[in-house]
Amino acid sequence: MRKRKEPALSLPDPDHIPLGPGRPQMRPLRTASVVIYATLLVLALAVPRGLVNWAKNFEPNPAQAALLHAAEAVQSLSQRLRLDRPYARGRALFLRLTGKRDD
Amino acid sequence: MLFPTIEFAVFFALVFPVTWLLNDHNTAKKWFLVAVSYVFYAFWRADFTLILLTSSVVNFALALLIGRCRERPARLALLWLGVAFNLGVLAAFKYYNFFAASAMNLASVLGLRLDLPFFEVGLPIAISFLTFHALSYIIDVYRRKLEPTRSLVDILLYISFFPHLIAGPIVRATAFLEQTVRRADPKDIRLGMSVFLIVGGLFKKVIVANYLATDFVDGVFRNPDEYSRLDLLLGMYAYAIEIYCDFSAYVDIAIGVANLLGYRFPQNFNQPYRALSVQDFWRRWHMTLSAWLRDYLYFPLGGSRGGTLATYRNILITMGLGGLWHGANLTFVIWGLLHGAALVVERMLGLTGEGGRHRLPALAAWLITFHFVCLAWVFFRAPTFDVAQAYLGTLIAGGTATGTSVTPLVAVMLVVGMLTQVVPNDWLERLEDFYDRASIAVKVAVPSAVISLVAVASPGGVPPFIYFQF
Repeated sequence: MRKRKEPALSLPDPDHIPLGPGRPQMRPLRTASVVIYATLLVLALAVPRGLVNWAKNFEPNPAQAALLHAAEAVQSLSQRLRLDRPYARGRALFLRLTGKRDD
Repeated sequence: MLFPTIEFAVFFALVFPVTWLLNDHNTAKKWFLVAVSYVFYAFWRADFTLILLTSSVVNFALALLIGRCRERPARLALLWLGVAFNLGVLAAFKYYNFFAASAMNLASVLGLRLDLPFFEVGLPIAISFLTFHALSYIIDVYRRKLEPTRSLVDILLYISFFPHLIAGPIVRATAFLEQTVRRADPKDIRLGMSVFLIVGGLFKKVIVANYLATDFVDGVFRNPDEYSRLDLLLGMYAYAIEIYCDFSAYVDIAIGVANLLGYRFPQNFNQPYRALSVQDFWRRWHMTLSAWLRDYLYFPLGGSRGGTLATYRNILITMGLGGLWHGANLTFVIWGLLHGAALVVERMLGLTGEGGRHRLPALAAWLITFHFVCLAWVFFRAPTFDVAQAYLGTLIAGGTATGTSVTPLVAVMLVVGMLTQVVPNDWLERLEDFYDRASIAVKVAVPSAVISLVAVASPGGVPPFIYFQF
């Protein structure tokens, strides 16, 4: 018979949920907002193709046309600033290594 | 609406600021969250939001009545009415056709003719999780663990809150309602934890679970007799990792999203494939379901109070019904009963690890537990009992195929998936702590970089999470 190093686990108390690990931010809402919206902006500029494909998936109507126009404007800006390059190169490398193809 | 989509990113980008702007007007905030949760659900089927609404209103009213009654028989009658209503809705949508087919088969075996109609209404997504939440509320009110709330919006929100609506975690009414009575404290936001749960969840679902499923697991479970024994063995491991990465990804994202909105959700996974016994596994896998089954099924059946045989019976009933909850299919019942039988055997042999002791060396205990869990997953994943039988038959006896069809990408995913089980939890906490203390530029760069990498390696589309069907 061998002793186990840790005691057997038990289920946590389901009626009380402790705060998660980590520390609160100085200005939690401001920091969280900056992280959320700046990340979305970076992703829109770094992977603009996703935005354009998403906009193309909707039923054609004036709202969809406006959305697609906006997505294409973001893509055009990203291409002009060459912000889409890292994604494009990474994607090409991934496809070459795995032998997969873009849909 | 799936979490790893642009729709959800846009949805959340709109919900997040409005939720916090309404934080000082708690009732308005809750109505807003109910409304957006119904919109979230309506992306699948708008008409099924009526089920959410009906369930919430009926359980709200029943709980008030139970709370007002003083005589135990009347309270019990109302509780049974509530249980019958909730299970009736679940049975009608999820199990009617299964039970009708089973009854007709049984009648045919007995030489009788029985014709029952079948209904093709479609399964309302999330109906099982909805039932768990509703039952938790009325049973806790009956047990006087919880005062029935007089605020309908609290129950509407408890039942429909979009982060946990579709696939959990199962949040107890006691734990959720205490969070709805007051404004949320922004200091409760754990940014590092939420960010890592969300980006880690995206990686596990979009990359690991997806490639394991599409490039390997789906094939071996479609035609197991066309694969080698090695492939079938690896297929078992791959499915174990796939379902973990799929389900835990959903729950991780749900916990992270809820925390960003100021709500706390319970932990649901704790590296389940490190378990040294099947009992240990259920304390690490879908922990909120384990606790729910224990408190609302196993204990009411008598738990371990009625002696050894009654305990074994209660374990088997609990696990069998837990299996059936996953779907109207014999394979799920077998999966549940296999786990029940394993729990019984562990108790008989004293292998549960209770008291911090195991009779087996840790490595042997881990090997046996892991392979038992993987073997049981075959019944869980196989579309029919015949496929599961063919899978295990070919695995044991061998088929005509030799070698392996595992691609390098699948092999990498297998390794990465297993790493999620061995990386110490405190590493992640240290990473989160570093993130919490980092500059705002780093705080933005980390999720941007990880999600960009996920996009680089992502497949064309994201299939629904496995647990959506339950």
